[in-house]
Amino acid sequence: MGLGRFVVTRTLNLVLVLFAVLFLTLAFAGPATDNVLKRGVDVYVKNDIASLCDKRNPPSFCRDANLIKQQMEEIKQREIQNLGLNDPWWSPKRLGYSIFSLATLNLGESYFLRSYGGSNVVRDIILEALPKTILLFTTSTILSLIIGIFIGIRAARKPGGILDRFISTIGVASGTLPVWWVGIIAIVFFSYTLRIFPARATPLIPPTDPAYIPALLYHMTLPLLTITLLGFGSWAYLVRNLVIGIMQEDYITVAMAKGVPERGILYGHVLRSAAPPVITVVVLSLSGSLGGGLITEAVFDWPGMGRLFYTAIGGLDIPIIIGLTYVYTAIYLASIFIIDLLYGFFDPRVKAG
Amino acid sequence: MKRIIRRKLHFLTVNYRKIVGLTLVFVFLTSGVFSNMAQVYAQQQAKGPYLDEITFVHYLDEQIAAKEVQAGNLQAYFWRIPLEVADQMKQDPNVVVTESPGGMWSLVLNPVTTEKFNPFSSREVRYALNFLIDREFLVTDILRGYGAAQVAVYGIYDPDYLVIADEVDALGIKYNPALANTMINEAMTKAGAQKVGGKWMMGGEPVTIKFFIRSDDPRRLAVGGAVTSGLENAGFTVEKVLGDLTKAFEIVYGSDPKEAKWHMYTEGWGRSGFLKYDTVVDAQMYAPWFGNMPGWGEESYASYKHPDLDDLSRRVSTGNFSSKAERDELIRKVALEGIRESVRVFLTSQIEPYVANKNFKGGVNDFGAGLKTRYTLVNGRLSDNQGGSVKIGMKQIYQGSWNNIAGIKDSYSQMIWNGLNEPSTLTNPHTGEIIAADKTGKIITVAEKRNVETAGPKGTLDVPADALNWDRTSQSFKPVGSGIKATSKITSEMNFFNWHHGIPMSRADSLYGIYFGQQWGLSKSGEPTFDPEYTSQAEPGAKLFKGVRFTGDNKVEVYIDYWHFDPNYIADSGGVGASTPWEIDAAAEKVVVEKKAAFSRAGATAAKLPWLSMIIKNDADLVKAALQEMKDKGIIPPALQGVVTREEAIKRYDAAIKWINEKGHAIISNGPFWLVGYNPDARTIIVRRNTDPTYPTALGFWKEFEVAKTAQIKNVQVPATVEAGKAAAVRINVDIGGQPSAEAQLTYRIVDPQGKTVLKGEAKATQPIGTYDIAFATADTSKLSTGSYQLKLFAVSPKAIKPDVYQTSFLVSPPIQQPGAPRPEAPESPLTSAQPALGIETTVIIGVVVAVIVVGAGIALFRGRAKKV
Repeated sequence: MGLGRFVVTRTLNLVLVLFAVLFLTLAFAGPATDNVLKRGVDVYVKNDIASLCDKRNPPSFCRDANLIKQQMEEIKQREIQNLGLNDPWWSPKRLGYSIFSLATLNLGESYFLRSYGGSNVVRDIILEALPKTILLFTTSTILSLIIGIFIGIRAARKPGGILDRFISTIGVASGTLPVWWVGIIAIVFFSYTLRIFPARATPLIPPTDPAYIPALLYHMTLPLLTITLLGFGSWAYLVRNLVIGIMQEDYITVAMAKGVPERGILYGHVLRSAAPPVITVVVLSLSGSLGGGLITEAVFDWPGMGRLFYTAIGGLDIPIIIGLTYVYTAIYLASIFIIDLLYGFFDPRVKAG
Repeated sequence: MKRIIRRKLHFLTVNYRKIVGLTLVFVFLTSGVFSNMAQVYAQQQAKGPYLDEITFVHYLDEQIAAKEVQAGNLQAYFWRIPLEVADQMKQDPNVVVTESPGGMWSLVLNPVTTEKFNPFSSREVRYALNFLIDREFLVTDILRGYGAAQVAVYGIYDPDYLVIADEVDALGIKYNPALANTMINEAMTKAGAQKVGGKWMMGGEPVTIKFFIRSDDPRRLAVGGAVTSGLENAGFTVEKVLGDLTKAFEIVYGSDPKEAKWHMYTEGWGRSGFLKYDTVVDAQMYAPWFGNMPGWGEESYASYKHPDLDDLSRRVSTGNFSSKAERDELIRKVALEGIRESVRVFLTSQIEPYVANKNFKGGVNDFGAGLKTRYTLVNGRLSDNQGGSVKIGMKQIYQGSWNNIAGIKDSYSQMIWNGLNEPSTLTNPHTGEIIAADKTGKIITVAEKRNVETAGPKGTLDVPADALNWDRTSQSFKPVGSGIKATSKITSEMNFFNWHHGIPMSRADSLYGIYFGQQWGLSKSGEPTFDPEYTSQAEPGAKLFKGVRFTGDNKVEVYIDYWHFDPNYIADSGGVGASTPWEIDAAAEKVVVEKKAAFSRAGATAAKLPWLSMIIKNDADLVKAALQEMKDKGIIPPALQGVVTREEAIKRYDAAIKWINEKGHAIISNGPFWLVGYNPDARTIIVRRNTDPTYPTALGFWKEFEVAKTAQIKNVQVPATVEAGKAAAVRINVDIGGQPSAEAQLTYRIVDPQGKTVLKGEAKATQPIGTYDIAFATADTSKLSTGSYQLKLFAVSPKAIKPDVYQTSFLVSPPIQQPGAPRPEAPESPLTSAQPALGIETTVIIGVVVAVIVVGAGIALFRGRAKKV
């Protein structure tokens, strides 16, 4: 199969998978959530009316029981209509419109949530959270893998040495320690005991302020360090194991016998062989980093994608749930596609055609 | 002449040191005096809040926020903190923990008869739960002391609690599992159940209670565990269903009660308001008509029904009573019947801890809002002088749109908005009374500030023919003409000062507000001035408005069809002050009418438009564009034709445009603070002190609310034993706000061992101040029989409605005989009445006589024998 044909076929497959996932999400979400949402609307409307009538100058309808009931019913029906719940989930108006909208990248409007900028457009809400997640989580992923690869290779050069044993220990330990727990300890120690870093990860000045970038970097140092330091150990351990394994290969022995310098063997032969699995993990980690981390974001008060997803699920804000699912699925499928292409580049045995 | 001068010069040269020294002393002393006087004068003249600037900062995590307060990075956090953290914070001298009234917990029971036996279909079983649940345990162990037991819908911080406290207390509800079991046994046996091996069985199957417990709230999970334990001890089999609110929507609220998917559910309620007269809460919590009782108002569901509760609560909600006494009687009946029905069983009211840094003084603990009240913003300070900046943490910073028509709905934006505008009336944070400031700077009731004339509840007054009302047809204000009637008339004096952008307020602002309510409130669907949310809520009020008349001396008369037994409420409903300048409202209206945005969320969603939020630059620019167009075309809104001139209008438009250009938002009001801006990236909102010299409220005006002047019972002298039929007295000492006071209302009840109230009344204030006496006459104590009694005291301060409750016991002894007093007849003992028996004295006399006879006979016999020999 030629590269071009492979790209087209693969792309079509992935797009079909994307829409299948969306359909399944809507199908699972629809029947289960419609009733729940309607009940929720009923409860919230009654509580809202009670709160409204519980004020000092309540609306006049609060003085008439019949008008109170009338208001409740009117507001409830209006909300149900606004949420699109007056049509069944499988109706063309809802399901068809949703699939079509998503295909044209119109993610719709949220039911309840708003961006900090005041928008209820799902795209705006996601695009507000996504850069913040990239800034913290993707950056820390990149730093972790750079440090990890470098240290992993160094450790692999002297198996059983001090660095190697240290990396092995760190790798196991960091994989078991929860980031949010370490984060809390880091905040207590660095923010309140030593008072080196602020606990809040975002500065109080606006982006238009010239001091914003240094302030932002200062504020995000603590969460960035925490996530990176807990992440690099696993990378180093992975790379160390891969490199040690490849160093045992016959062709490496031959290269050594031929007098190829150690640097040349490592970077010219070993890393190239180790690339496919490493690339797989790198790409999947990078795409996974875009999901953020709910508890980590809560601990560091970082308004990212993880917290957005959790809030949307808790509040049954279906458009945001669908929108995020769409974004994550698209990113994941794109990652798979990239891996497929890179694999062919690094390992000629798997090249298409 | 020369000699005089020479003599003077000589005097000066000789005494110059003394003169200089005296002069210096004089200057030193007077400078201090003058400086103090200047400072005092400045303080007296100073207006507005203490703080120069407040930055509201978004902190989602309460624990981190509490630590920030502790570290001094925040001065206060406007959200409750976890109870465990509060306990820790109390140990830190850098932190002040304020305890504010919070929400409450309850259990809702499914009372419907279902296919499989439902024990809660029995009223007696439901009522028994009140004695089966240890509320004190919930308060001490689960709430860690941050709360109080609650039996009825009104808790100890609710003004209406005092109305029902006596009667609810008289029910004697407290943890008594033995009594609960007795009641359950009777009811279950009557229903045909049998107790086998300690478990209730019906038709050979265990009687099972499906208990939906909210597991997403760890404390409610613990409550569920405690209640389950009690139910199982009472012989029920409990099937726990754990879930969050979403699952509760499905199982509890989303199923027909007769399907028996649930029998009991752990509810939690927040605190929404602090009102002197609550109108809907008893309907919400006890009456089926409101739709909050099992069945949830769904016609297709089997629902709980109670026509009497419906009728009584409707009368409370709709104001169908003619006096306070009548209203009090109604809510007493609703509360008592609601408790007896026990479809909703109240458990506890919560106390919510708030934290502030010790440097942040002047926080006001509002019984409704807690620390996060307007009073805290205005009265909060770092020192006794004006100045300083603080950071206040907020749980959320932007939850909904900012427009004063149908925006600012969430409590977070409301809290900040309250600091930006200057309402003419406020609520007393400790009594719920409606208050205002008079011209001399005193806090008075609003009925004292505004003149109320009413013909209500049934009568009407004439509305003057030249009073104005908005005519939608001609789109102008027109005289109402003759023959128009209204229930009440409220006359008030308008106080004009400057808006934040420097333009003076005027009657045009009030007129525009009246126009808006009438135009938009009475519009129909499809009309450009119709908003589905605003119109439906404003319509009833718009119909009650009958006319307005401005008299030449800045006074305004408002005629409305409204009556309340409390004239303060009538007075409050007659306010026509505006919270935003008319040009902003007019521009916003233009934006909405031209379908560029909507005022309400419902309107925005229905029309697929943005929900107008004037704190956001994009929407503020829409308003600015409208203002610019109005200025360019010289537009004066129809409502203000003949009221403002073209020049005045353009001046207003210019000021508003300049404001939006400089600040990037269109939030303009007249309050103690003005809005600097909202920063979405930093998630902060900054406000600054209004330094306009026309701002009316003096610095420190609300200082008296810093300490809630609650009543405290300090000392009670009650005799350990009271003799029945003899006079007795109890002496009590009561403080208000830490000082002895004669202003407390101190009521008492004497309760017998069966829990019945035998005596009740009010203690009388006496000397010295703070002393109260209860005098029991002989007629009173004669009603008491021998045994142990309880004395319960309720002390309430007129300045803070939270009562202090005290109870103690004493013994009642039978009357004691005094020497020389006529010997009372000995009461007949059961033995005496059942078998006729001799009295003691008679027995003794007979015994003596018999003994004399026996001895005499013995002597006679002895002497006879002696003679024979």
